[in-house]
Amino acid sequence: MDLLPSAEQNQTIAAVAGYMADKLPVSRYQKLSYDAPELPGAAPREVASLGWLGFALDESQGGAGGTIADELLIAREVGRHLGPLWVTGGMLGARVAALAGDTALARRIIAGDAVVGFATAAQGSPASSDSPSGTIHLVGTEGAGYAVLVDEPGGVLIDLSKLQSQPRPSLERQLSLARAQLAPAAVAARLPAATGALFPRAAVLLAALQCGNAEATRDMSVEYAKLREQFGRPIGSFQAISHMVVDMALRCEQAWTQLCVGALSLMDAQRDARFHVSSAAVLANRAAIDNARANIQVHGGIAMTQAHNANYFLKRSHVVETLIGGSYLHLEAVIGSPVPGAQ
Amino acid sequence: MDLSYTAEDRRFRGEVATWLHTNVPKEKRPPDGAEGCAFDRAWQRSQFDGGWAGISWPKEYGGLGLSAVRQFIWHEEYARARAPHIGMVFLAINQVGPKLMLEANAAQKDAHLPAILRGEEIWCQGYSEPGAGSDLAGIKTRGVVDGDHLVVNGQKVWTSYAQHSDFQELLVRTDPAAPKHKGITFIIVDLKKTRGIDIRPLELMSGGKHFAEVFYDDARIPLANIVGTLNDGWKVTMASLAFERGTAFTADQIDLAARVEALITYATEHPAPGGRRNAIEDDEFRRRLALARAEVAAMRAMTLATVSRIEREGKPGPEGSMMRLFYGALSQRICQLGMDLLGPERLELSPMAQGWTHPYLRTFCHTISGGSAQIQREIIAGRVLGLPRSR
Repeated sequence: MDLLPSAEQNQTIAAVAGYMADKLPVSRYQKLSYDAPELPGAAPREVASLGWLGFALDESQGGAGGTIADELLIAREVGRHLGPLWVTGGMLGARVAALAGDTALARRIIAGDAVVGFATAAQGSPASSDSPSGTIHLVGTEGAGYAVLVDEPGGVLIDLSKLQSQPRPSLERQLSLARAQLAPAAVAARLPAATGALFPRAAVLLAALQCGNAEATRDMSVEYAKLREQFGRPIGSFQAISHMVVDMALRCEQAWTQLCVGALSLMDAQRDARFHVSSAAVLANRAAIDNARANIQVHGGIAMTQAHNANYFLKRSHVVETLIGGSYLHLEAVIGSPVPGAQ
Repeated sequence: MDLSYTAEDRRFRGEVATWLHTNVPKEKRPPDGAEGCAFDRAWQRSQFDGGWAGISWPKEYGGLGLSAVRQFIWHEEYARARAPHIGMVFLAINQVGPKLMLEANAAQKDAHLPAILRGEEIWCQGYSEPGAGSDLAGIKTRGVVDGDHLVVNGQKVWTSYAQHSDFQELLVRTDPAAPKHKGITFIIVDLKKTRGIDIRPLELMSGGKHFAEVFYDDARIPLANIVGTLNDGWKVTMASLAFERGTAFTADQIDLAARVEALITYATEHPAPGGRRNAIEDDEFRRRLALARAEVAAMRAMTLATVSRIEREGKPGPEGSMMRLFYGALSQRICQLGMDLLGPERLELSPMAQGWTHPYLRTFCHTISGGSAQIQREIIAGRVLGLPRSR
């Protein structure tokens, strides 16, 4: 029993953290124009060359043979910098394609030749039907060839070239949003729920993004509370501030340790894996959203503006909460589970 | 990263479960009082005779010297076997013992450590005073050296189980002129043999006499009972704090998880107060119960992280210092949820009633005693996050 990363996993964390800080830091948002979404450009091929997108797929499918625990660690570092959604989109999209039997498409995704954003159902569960249809939102798909939609009944990989979509104003303006009618003709690959525990797997990766987000805002608040002075003292010396920051740190520990248990339970195919994953999803959503809100309060006026990064963390926390299926859905899974740990 | 246990650890779990299954007392622990005290002593003695006393104590002091993983396994099986709460033995086993191991001389260790393991010594604390709670170093109870004794005058308060204790770990001010952390002495008081000590139990809001006020009127305590040296008591007091943040509260956490499951069962069988359906069908109760379930799971995950960190690095990480803060608030939320679910049943107060009203009143101490939630936040802000001091 060991909840901490191995030496090898720590190297992976350091490598991902180093790349993100160097090439895709959150400060990139300041250089984008407010109303224009971020385009993938050459980044997916470069990230693909580092092996992230197929890290946990079998070698026979073009992957590196790692585990969900490895993907979890990568996703947390990506989340810390509000990394592009096509990183986790690619991980999930490649899995849907590979497990659905389209190894060629899986390999193109892993190589960064096919870029995968996210889709989420406006209502209902399109993936439950043999001929998926319904109104969907496309999130972060500008410049992407595919979108992956994962919900309880399974996953579908959507070919965006076969879909008519209407751009919509986005909560997070640098992340594209569009509405579309899903038609069976646009489905490139479909995976039923029974295959590969896709929904809890997606929840683990998205919750890891939330944990990275929550830890980033915790760290921003800690640093600012040490530097910013009012009444002749650092604001971190005021308990009204420091105790708020302690609660941010506690939310991070709750979410991350539970997420590790969830990911490892899923890896071991334990009976209560879904309970642990959904518990983690709820706590990770809470950590990301509540910390992002608290971070704005700690920073004060400047954090209300586009000139400061704080607002991006808040907006992303709501985007990812939506993609993960929403906290209410996961609370339902938590209460609907058998007694956890019972033998 | 790995959730599975080694074959040896699994075998150990089996041994623990087997022993507990046979030896856990069949009767329920009586409420605090003389009967509860006798029960706690006997159960500790029974664990000693079975070879299970002092699971976290080093072998050289008669303990089992178990790894953090095995301590966790012990606590899990202990809770699963519905073994009784450690009760009045808690302080001696989890705080006094470790403190004496680190700071006491050979004679003091020999006098007390084996007796604690055998359940022969109940200990209480002598820390807080009416004027020194969160600001513990502000104590005013005086100790004046007179020959080979320390003569103590003053008052302590919030002393758990003082009326049942054999010994007290007492903090007194021996140098009023020194800076407040430098003039404090840590001394062992034999409560059964020392004259000039008056113990007055305080009744809790839940009923029962858990705490006491302790008054000292020229109480003469041998200088040989000083642990460490004169005026160096603050260091002795702080020595075992890290010890406390290991797995000592694991059984309480597991018990809380069982309480949540009991509430879920209750909610499937009873209507929501003022509602039309069973509570489990009511969206608000359903989500509150789900969140409680998720949070007790996270508490267990944080304990697993602490255990992992102790195994790897020899000491708990940040999650260790956050556990008390989390447990205190969560136990209150869960008991409040119980009160909300009960409806009119909640009006009945006795430890043996529906099992919620009494614990609800008791949980208020979880964010006050042993360092209030505010003090816990101060510790985390300073020592974990490195924020500037607030005073």
